[in-house]
Amino acid sequence: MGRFLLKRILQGAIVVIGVTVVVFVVTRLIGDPVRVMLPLEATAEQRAAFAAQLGFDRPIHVQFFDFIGSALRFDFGNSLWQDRPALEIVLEALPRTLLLVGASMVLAVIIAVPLGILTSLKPGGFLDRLLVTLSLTGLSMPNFWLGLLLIVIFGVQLQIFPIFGSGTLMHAVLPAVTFALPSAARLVMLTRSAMIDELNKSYVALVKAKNVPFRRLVGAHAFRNAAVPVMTMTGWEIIRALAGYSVVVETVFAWPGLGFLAIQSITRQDLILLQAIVFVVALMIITINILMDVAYKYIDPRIKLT
Amino acid sequence: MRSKREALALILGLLLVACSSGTVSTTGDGGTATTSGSGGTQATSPPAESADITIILAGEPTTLDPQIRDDGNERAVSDNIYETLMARNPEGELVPGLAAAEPTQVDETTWQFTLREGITFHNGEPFNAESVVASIDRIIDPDFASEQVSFFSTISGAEAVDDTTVNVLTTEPDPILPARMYWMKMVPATASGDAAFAENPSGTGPYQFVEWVRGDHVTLEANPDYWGDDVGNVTRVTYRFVAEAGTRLSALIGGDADVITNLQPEDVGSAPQSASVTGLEHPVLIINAMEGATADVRVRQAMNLAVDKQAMADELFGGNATVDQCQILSESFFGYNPDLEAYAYDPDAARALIAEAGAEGATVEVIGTAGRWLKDREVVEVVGNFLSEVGLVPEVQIFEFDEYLNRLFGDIRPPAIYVTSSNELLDADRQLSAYYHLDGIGASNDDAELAGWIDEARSETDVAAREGLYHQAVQKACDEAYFLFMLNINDVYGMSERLQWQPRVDAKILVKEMTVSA
Repeated sequence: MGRFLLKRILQGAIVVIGVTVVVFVVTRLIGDPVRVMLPLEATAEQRAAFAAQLGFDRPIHVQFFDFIGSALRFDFGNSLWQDRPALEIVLEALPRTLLLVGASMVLAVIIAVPLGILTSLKPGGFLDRLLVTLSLTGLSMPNFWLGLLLIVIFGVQLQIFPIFGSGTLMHAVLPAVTFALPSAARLVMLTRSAMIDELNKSYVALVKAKNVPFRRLVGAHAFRNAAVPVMTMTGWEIIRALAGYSVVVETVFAWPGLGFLAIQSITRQDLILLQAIVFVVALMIITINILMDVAYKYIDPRIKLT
Repeated sequence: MRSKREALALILGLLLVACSSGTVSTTGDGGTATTSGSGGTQATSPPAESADITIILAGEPTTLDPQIRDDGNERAVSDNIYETLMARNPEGELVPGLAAAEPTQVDETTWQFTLREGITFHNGEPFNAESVVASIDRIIDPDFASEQVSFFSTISGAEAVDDTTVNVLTTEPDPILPARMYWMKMVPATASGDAAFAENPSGTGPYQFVEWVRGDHVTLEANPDYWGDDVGNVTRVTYRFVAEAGTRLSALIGGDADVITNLQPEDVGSAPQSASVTGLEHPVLIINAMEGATADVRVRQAMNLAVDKQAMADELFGGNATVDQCQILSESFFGYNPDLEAYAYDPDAARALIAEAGAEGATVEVIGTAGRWLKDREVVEVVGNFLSEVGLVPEVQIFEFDEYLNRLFGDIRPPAIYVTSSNELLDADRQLSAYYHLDGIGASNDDAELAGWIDEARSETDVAAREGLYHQAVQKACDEAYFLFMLNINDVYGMSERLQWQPRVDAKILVKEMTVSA
């Protein structure tokens, strides 16, 4: 186990470094922050002076080694946009995104797993068909649209929840639900099919023959096996939420988290901040993956961690 | 039996979907309330004693130091905290602000400003010649690396004559120095040495800083010692930041905002009140007059005749745009030529000109970008359609912003490229230098005569002579059709029922000009 962790952490470190280097190369070679930051009508001399001020006129390899040296000390430099350490800005935004994603995943699992199991007990039954239809609806709703829909219903019409912002926990409700519903829909479908697979296996017949109560048969035997793919999917949902959907949902709800920050750093051509964001997100994804691997072992002792 | 249940389940599911989408469309049609007063100032009930308002901007300010960035969201807030030596009245005319009177020219490169007396900054420091000199020195300091340097490129320094008189020095004769001083916000003399100035900003304006919770809001309150007497009844203003237009509109309808910026043209009907005012932005196509089919002036003129500009204003911008009068200038800009008229929409004449030039079937690459300016992609696509109807073969290319900039600023001039030109100084020099002058960063012509007039105007200090040069220059660019002139976009604001406000042509959102009814 210890060896396994060490190995995964080392692998993860290599990936994080790789991703950071790629982002540096891509952003410096394709983008020119000076051009975007100055007004379109600025003259060539003004542009040159500005580049010199920010150090963007140095040869790319000098900038690169400078960057690597600092990155190893977790120093990404000052954000061009806010003129304070980029990592500090990212670490401020991170808990807000983790709160949203965490709350929404708990919500999604609480909704999805019982419903998924319920539908699997009588495939093709009324309840099954109703829930499958609803799930298909849920997972075909784009995040931004669902978000605006919730704003209109619960913010404007019913005025139950604040429309945007991040002051209180109430502010987190609508964005968390926006994250959770499509995820829950996907998880219902997956739980259902995993459970149907398990319930059709021969060991289930044996357990039944032993007169084990049905509730225990489903909960302790079948679901325990079905839980592995469900967990994989949940991990995947968390990663997608962190690295993708958060951009959309946080923009719609003006929730100042990591996704919102990512969009800001791109539109303001803040390469330094962008690098820090990518670094932190890569780190999160790798951590989640390792945690998932460990969790598998607890659920299914047959899995070998190597 | 089974299929019946199936059908029932399906219907139930669909019903749920139908219910939810139904809710959207009713509100979208303006279920809540709709009077989009075009002026926005229907005095219904008397003004309240005092009022707290919320303004939602499309983005958070970068900083509240008014001298370092070129950022519209920063200006939206700091225009209320800070003031400038010269100001503009709501119609856009230049008038004295912190200066007691119009500046006078001491010699070719020296402008003298007399300052209003008895004004103090919010932090208690006096506003005087010392703070003006410090403000100027600070913003032109190369180490300070202000993004606003392009506004002040001619200023070499400033010196105090006495406590209320300042000389501003320029490297060359600069006739638009007064207009430049309309852009330079005055900060206390101590700001230069204060690294934390942006955290605790202090100006002379009608509102003073209370707090800034990053990512959430900025709050200002009325300055009880403000020198001016033209302040409305708003005592406290909170700025919030929402990038998504639909969310801004929802907040306005839901009563969480009194003013929202960048109301989408299609949402005007849904806002409780809306107001639209001629803005500073001019989307235009720069046509390559040096090579290819477009080197022929007849082709360039035909392109101008081919596009129905009024239809674009009406359809794309919901009427919130006006047709440019054959120049990339708004009426409020110095140098605007009132004698010019837009090319009419005349596809037959366009076709004839193209036939005459032997350019039928000629390919014209039209380059644009998406998501940077309002309807930028749509404008370029519509122009492409119009061009294809008069015998040209437009090749519309929409690039990601950075690649688009490569084309806009590149040495190889594209046949036609979209740009939205904006001019906060309201003086022709900026646009003419960048897009009309052959050395300009976005110019696609080699007209030495035109460039000569622009150079001459830049140092012509006689106002009438200078204006004459600009009239001549824009006239020639119109005749030569160096651009496909299109529109001047309005700024559209959404407002709550209780707010009375007439937006300004210089796009400043001045809270002191707002009144809230009881």
